[in-house]
Amino acid sequence: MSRAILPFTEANSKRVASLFRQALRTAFDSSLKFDAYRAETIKIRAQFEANKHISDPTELESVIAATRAKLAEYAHPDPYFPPCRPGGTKYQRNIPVAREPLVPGDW
Amino acid sequence: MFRLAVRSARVQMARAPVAAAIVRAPVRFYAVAPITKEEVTSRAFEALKTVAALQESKLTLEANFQKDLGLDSLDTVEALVALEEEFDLEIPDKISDEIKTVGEAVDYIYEEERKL
Repeated sequence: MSRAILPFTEANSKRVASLFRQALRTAFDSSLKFDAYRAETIKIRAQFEANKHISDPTELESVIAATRAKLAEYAHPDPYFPPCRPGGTKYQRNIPVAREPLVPGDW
Repeated sequence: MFRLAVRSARVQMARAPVAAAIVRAPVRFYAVAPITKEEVTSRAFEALKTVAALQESKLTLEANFQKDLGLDSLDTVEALVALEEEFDLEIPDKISDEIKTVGEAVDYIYEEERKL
């Protein structure tokens, strides 16, 4: 059973989408100003669009590997975490107090 | 001197019931009212309008990003990142792949906002 390897599978588009998301986050971490980040997203989008035509699976793999390497190189040492989310500075700052009696037993 | 002190104490005791009458049942004040689904929806629509590919499309909660709004996979990622920026959260890869419609994104964001 020989099946042609297709470049435009759902799994592949998910991989590329994940790389794109990661690239946008890296750009957000490294840009200090929001307009600089916007300009950077347009550049990233153009780079992804430039490889849109690829239909050769091996070429696709090499491009994805190159993108991974680039993202690993550019990864920010101190990425942004939303303050109220896990890893953020405000995460679980004011946990509600437990409502059951703190000392068990009849006092 | 002690008589003065006693007198002032007596005056305070006399005034105490008046003060107690003024105190009403405690009211709890919230810094921010809990977020409603309508608010999440309107803010999400505002944020989605900033995405280049979505600027003049008609947004509804049932609209599928790829089928109804005609976005490709990268446009969908851009739309979700715009929502992440608006609501200051990070949607994990696995959930981003699952989200297909505007309504699903709004539901997820609403659930996350309620956890705060």
